[in-house]
Amino acid sequence: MMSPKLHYYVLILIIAALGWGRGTLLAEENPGEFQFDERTVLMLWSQDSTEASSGSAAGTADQFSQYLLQSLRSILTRAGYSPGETITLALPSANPLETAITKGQEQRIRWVFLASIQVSEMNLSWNIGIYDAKRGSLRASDNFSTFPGLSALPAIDDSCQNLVQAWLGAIAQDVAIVNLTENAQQFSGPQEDVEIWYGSKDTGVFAGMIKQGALEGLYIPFPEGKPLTIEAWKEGYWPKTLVLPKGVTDQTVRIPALQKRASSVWGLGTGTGKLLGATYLYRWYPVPDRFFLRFDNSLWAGYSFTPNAIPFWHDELRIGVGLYLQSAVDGRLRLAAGSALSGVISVLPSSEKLVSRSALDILVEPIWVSLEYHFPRWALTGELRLPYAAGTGFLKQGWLEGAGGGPFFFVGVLIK
Amino acid sequence: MFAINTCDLFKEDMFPSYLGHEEAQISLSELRQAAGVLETARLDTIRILEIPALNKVYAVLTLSGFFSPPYQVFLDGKSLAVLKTFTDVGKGRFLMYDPDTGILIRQSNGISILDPGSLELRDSKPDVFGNAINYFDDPWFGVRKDESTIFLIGMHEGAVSYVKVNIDDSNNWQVGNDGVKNMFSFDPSDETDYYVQDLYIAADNAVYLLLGQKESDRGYLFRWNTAADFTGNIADSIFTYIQVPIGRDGSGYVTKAGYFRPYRNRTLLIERYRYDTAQAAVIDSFPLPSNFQGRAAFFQNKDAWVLYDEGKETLHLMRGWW
Repeated sequence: MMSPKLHYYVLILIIAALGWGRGTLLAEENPGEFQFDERTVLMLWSQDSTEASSGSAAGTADQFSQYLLQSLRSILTRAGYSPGETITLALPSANPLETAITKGQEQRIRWVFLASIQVSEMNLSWNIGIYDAKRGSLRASDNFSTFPGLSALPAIDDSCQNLVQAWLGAIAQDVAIVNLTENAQQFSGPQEDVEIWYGSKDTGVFAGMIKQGALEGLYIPFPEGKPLTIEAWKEGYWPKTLVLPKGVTDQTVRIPALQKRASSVWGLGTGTGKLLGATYLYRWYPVPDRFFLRFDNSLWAGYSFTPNAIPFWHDELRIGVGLYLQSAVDGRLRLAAGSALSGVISVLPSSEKLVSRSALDILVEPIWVSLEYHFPRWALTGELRLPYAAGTGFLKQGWLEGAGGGPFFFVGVLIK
Repeated sequence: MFAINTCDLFKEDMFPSYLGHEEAQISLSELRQAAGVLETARLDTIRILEIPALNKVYAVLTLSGFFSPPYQVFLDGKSLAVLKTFTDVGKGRFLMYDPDTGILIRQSNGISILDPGSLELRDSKPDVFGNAINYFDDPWFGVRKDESTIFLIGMHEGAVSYVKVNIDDSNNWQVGNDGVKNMFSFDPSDETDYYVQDLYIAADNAVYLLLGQKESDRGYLFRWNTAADFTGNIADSIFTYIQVPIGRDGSGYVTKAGYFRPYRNRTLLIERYRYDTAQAAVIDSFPLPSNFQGRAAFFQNKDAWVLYDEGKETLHLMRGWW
């Protein structure tokens, strides 16, 4: 687990890398000076095994040295820097600053790591300095001493990490390297308690939570004018990733409403062929907002509004499956299709001369199609149905058609 | 317009809306079984016979088919219960009621007279038509003129004709040699284009005869002021007529409540028209399922009708929507 501080630096560097590209930018602060590769790190190291006359002690020293170098490489890579050539020095440098600057300028590499490792029977110590070959200065250093056993390994990792963080912190404040923003980003949004993260929620930095429709994000000195990726997150809702193309600006960023992550939905509606009634529906999503099972129940009356007519009552129980066809699970406009099977119990009430009759009609729908417009917690839906009657009850066998032919149309509201 | 369309939308049902007017129902298979009709027989025509004096009404069906003789089946017009079945009825469409005689149906080359209450055979007049049968493609209707004369009305070589049946003192029935006449010469050049569709004798004794024109949606509804005018010197009698639309299947029905015809535009409707005006005018309509196939018949003096759903093979007795 990375510490928040490390998040912070990693994020800055990721953003910087997005804008700059890797290993391609050569600084040109002052014409006539050397051009330096600022994305590669030159690594120098020396090892001093003062009491390691035996081969086994020298081997132990080698192992610690290689471990330290590997740890440094790994951390640098995560930070967006490319570990360059590793040069072994025969002896610890008497003047490490001069050695580092000379080597860096020779290879046109600005950042030079110089590690010196001493190993004795009872002690392992190291000293690492990070030098700026362009400016001719030391930007960060760290040293540590411990027993040369397994417990030294985490200490080496911690030391390398602290060192790189200190270095990144130092150069992040270096206005000569990047122009950093001085203001916090302002956010607004229609939903409360939406968390804003710089980067992603998993690896980014928490900028804050929208309250009363607004948020002043955590101040972080992001590079000016460089794209900034943010993620809006709320429990139970689909997260949304946004890219601020110009990074932090003084313009308020409006966070769009997040769509609720639907695992079940209920709804109400009605449709042609059953306008004198209503449909209650329930959907269960094994795959949220992608695939669902549906259960509809419709109760309606057929009535011709003419003298001597009596209502013809129907109750339809419909089960089916549905699939959203677009790739985005949180889109506003969604197209879904599926199949269904239903049974309709119809009752023709008794009249003066007629004995009550009832029958069960089985309907099969090889395909239905719906178009939905989603708001965060509810949606409007319109559906086309083309049922096929099995001819088991009042309906004759064949495709059912709405008045004038064509499918039946259902409209309704879905509550997430 | 919007209100009308909205109202129509609310009338739509996934199920046949006519069922809300149903009063009785029988499936064709039940009917065949009860009537002793072969399974291969299909429903041809539906006629309604009302006998107000006896408070009786019959739905009279004709059925025929491959390897099946023609049948004439009498159903109770109040319950659609099967009452009686007759065979050897020619094409089976002839049906007439005369209070003084009874119910007349075709029997081979003659006429059977049924008791209007019990439908038992009262009398049989074989070979009434004799050679005169050649003058009819098939008689549909009959009108009694007086004690000794009955007019049978049908088609002859595509033109409307009638046969005068003479009844002598011994109650022998015989077609007069000069009995066959061309009753109607509305447009001689087109006379072969017409067919007899319906006959209605109103309470005021006016006689309405509906002729359909083949290969068109036009029909002509003729009116004679009295039955005497109609059965007098028919060819020269004075009548009036209006043009009415005919259903695509050639059907149209004249009743006390109006003139009915099926009509398919965006949907399938049965339209009801006024016919006491210079031009037939739509009063209202009744929707049928868009994929409906079948036919209807209307009671002439009651607010009821019969609908046959060919898809479901069910016969429905319906309350009127007017």
